[in-house]
Amino acid sequence: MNRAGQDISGLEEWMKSWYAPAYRTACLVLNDSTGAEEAVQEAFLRMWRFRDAMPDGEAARPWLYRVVVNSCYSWARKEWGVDGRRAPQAALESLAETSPGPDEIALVGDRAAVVRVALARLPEALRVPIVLRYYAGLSEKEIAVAIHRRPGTVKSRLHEARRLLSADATLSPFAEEEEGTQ
Amino acid sequence: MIGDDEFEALLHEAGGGYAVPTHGPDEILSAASPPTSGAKVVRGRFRFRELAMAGVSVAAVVALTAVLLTSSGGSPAVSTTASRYAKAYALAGNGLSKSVLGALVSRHSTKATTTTTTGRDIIAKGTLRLRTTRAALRRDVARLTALAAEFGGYVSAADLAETGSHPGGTIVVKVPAGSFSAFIAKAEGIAKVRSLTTSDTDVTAQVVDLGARLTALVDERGQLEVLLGRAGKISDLLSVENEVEYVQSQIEQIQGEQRTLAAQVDYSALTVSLAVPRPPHVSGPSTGFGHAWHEAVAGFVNGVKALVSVLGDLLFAVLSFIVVALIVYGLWRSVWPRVRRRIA
Repeated sequence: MNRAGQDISGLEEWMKSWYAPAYRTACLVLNDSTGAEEAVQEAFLRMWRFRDAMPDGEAARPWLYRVVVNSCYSWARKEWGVDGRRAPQAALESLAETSPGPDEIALVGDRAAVVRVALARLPEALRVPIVLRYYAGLSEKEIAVAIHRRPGTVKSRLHEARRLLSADATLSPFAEEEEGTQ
Repeated sequence: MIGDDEFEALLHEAGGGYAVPTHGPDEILSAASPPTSGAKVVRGRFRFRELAMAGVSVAAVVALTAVLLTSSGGSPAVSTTASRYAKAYALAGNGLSKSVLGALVSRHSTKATTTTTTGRDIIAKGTLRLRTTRAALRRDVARLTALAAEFGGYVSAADLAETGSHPGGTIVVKVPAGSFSAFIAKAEGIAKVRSLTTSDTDVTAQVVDLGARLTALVDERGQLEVLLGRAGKISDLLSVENEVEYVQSQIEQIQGEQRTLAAQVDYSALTVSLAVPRPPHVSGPSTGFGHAWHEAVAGFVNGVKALVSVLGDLLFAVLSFIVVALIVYGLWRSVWPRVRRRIA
């Protein structure tokens, strides 16, 4: 049984309910809100066009993120002229330069910006799994479906991404803070 | 090492900072197609298309067979092209081969008829160099423009100068290919002809090749549409969709080339060069200070020339005298002692 058997209004409601998580996931992947909006729009249009192929139940969520991630890759390839698997280094550098420093951010309490910059520094192959794992809440198996990689690959990428983020000096104060609050 | 819970909290904080566009989902759903089953529409449309193509293919095969049996004077190139496609699609062995082959054969049969009745595709060009006068330049250009309009053509480019040191220029006239020779004959009467060159380029093979490539791409797009309807996995759907976009861009590129080529075949271009001969340079009488200066320089030069001439003559005379004197003295010295001895 798939979504083709359901009524259109139900599908519309389902898509509306998943728009915000999909949009924010795309924002974290691309680090570009405009690009994220376009990518999610394209992803939802694709889902609408191919709704007959849409799986039902729990399988719908990884399918949704798969379409969103693919749209993000397409957008990046089109806009940045790279293979879509890597954010342009220049863009990341400019982002890091224009973003406030850790001390400044700590003063105003904007941890979100620091995390975004730290994520943007990660290679895209590592950034996508960690966003899907810790923001979208997908399991390793679901991430493997979403990015079309083996679960073992996903596991190693998640481990590497966690290691790099833990070693990131800009995030260490937050880790201590979290530890301190526990 | 940051723990899982901390990562989750940090990423939710980072993601939650992005304001979600409130109009987003509604815009997407309103932009989406009407609530009909997309994949089913594709399949249904193609069933009808397959039936139509099958019908056309049967008729085309019959027509082609009749043409091949009754006429041996058809274009061998076109027959070869059709058979090449027939062989290729027969070897392909897929479910669509019959209908695709039918459509191809049908199209190439049509092309063969067109080629036979309308002849070859030729791009004709020419360059006509005319000699005119400064006074007649404007009139000649007007006559050429009017002549182009009379033949159903137009001036596509012009670069003319009526004044300045080099009056004249070039205009490019495009006229229907069928009237090209008549137009040249009339244009030659406008002014004195310095030279005329024409050239014909046969682009029939190029036209046929573009047509064949377009046909193949259109069929490929049709097959991809079938695959779109049959694919179940989203990865397949996305890759096929990308392929359809690529094929569509190729189709549009070829159609653009066809339009350009057709325009060049339909309208022949004659580049008319209008030249005004430059009058010979005549220097007028000079007056005033300049005149005096030139006179003085000329007088000085003439004086030096006269001096060199006189001194040259004088020097020659002196040198000649010295040579003669030396010879005489030598002879005197050698002969006079013997003469003295005899006398003594």
